[in-house]
Amino acid sequence: MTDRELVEEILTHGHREAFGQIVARHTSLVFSRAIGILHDEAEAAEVTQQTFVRAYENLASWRGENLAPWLATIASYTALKNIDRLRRHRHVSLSETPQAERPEEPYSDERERRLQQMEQAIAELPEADRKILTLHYYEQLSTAEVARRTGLSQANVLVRLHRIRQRLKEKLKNHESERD
Amino acid sequence: MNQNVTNQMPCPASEPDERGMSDEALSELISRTLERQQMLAELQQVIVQDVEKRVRRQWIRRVARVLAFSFGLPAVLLVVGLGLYHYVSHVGLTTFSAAALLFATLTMLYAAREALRNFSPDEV
Repeated sequence: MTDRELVEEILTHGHREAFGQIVARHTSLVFSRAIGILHDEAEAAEVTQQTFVRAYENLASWRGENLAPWLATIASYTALKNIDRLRRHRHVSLSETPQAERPEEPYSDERERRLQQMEQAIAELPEADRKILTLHYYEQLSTAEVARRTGLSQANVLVRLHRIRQRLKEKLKNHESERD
Repeated sequence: MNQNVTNQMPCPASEPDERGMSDEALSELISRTLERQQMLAELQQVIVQDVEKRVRRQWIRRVARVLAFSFGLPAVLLVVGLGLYHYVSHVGLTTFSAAALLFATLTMLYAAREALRNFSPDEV
């Protein structure tokens, strides 16, 4: 379903679950835009939430086929407003605001870009590979535990992890060369 | 956070490749991306719940407005009318009470007319 069709579903039939699909489709973009401006994950999450609420309240005024540019504009506006609010409340300069709250992993455009590329690369993996990756890297299970959970042998898990990593590296390289 | 995972990786080499990404960096990037995805998934749930809550609140406000319009306005008219009736029946029909009665009636009629004229189903 296109964005336009989903919006029509909400406006004409009152199907609010269609908004859930819109949220799932565009959260990453909105968050990325917000963190690009705020350089702070917690603030970016807050702005992402505000952006979608604002979008929902103004859906009827939206014209177009793709919601992404509209949502990105709302996210930018909301993020800038939040920066303004933070500055007024804390009486600190704009450059100090994000640094003060983030002791580790400093934000960089390069890092954010790589995260987005990796997100896309992981999304393109088969479901089974994504599961192995999540168990090992997110849930931090050992390869033996991953093998037990997936019903594969440990050797098989090791081989598949190796292949998945190679594939992800390759995809990142492709993204990079497309960008250049 | 990902120390034990990195140590178990099947690729022992951690030299940067031609793009400058070592195995450790790749592992870290994968972990960070999965964490971000999980965080966004949770955020999506919060957003949908928040919107649902707002829609419910909006519906309650609409119902309250309809009730206030349908019953509130006639109730006010009734109370003021009864008050005037009691006042006139108690004081008697003097010039002053007649003027007050006329003024109150005209004010009420004007307020009712304005309320009806400004009524919009879209705003309810």
